[in-house]
Amino acid sequence: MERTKKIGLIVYILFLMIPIYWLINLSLQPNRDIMGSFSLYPQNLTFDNYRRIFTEAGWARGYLNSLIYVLMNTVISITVALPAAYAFSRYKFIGDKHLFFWLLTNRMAPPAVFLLPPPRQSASSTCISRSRWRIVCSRSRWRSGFSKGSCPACPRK
Amino acid sequence: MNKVENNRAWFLVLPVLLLVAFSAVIPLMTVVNYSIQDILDPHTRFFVGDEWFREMLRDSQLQSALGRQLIFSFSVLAIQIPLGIAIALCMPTRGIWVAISLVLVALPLLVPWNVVGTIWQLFARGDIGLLGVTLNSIGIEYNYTRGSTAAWFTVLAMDVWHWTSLVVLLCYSGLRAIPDAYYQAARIDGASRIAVFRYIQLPRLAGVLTIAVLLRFMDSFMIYAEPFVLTGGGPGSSTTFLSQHLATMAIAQFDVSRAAAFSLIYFLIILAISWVFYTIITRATKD
Repeated sequence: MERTKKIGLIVYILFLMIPIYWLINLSLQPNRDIMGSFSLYPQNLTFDNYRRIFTEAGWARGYLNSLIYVLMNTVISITVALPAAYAFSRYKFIGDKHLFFWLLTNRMAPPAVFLLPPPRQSASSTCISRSRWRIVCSRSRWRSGFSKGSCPACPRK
Repeated sequence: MNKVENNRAWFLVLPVLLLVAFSAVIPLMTVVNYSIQDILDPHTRFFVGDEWFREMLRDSQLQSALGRQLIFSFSVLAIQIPLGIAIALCMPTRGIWVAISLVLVALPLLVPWNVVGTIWQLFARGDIGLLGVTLNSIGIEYNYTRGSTAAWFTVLAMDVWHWTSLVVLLCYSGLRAIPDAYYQAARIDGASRIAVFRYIQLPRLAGVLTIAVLLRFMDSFMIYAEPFVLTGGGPGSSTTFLSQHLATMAIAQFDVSRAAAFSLIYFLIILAISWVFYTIITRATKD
């Protein structure tokens, strides 16, 4: 029995790891090799692809944007969702079930719904800071739903 | 879980309430506003009532996208929930391997969604991908850009790869929370493994399974980035799910009013099905 368990787990982890290995394998080969011949490991090992994504100009802005977004999102999620998660898992209060389900419904709204641009802005969406806020808002809505979902599962101290 | 009754807990919930009211209710009302008007340009718009809704409900493309979406979401649940429980039961319970296997299992959850699409696009390609090359070399014709069965298989495999770990982690935390006394009592009674699973582990997992089913249903019903990167909805429209159909309408065709009506219908479907799940499962755990 213990052996079947171990084999099951190992097979599952292999299933998870092989696609990642393949990505790493391809990332360490020059394009010519990838298209030219099929091999299970890099024949001409190269870190050129990595050098390019860290030095080419277009990427810098992307890293910065991601960092700013992550920071804003983390701050909002922690300050807002954590107290709520605590309240839901420890206390009973008037309307708690209804409130929980309503918050969960916001987790259900497809992100694509919020793609719809406001008509005034659509022609020239130059307002970067506003659009950044829009992304953060729609994401933190998602996050807050999730942290509440996982909190009841954590054991009480 | 025994909770303390205290209405001051409302103060802890207030911030999230305000944020959600600001970031969800306002955009939602904008969508409602669009859905009942015919907008020709920002200054010319007419009130059309429920016309868009009628048109969308009759739309055959939407109906087939909805059908595909339902098949996809229910296959995802049918594969991932049992598999997740099984793997959680296989996880080691003590020793150094706990941490190692937890990290390895959680790894796919950390991969951004469009990267998941890229990983599988490369992995499944018939010329340079390990999966594609292997399948083709053992004589199975496999090309996810041409055959719709292959495309479906790849999209499902990708979702199983990405999200089963969430079910595993939730179930694992649920299993760890079962006190040892339960198992001791079972041993004294001479209960079989199946009985232990059926009468101890499964009932104690009901809470986390509710969350797992809801999260997996909602997420798979809204899936967008992964199939968009992997198959682009193709071949033809065989893997075009609702979100992608909606995005094409709203962005590529810029058909704002129709897309708004569609959005609301879409949202109501998710809401209705999730509510049914939520009620059934919370009722079942009460009995």
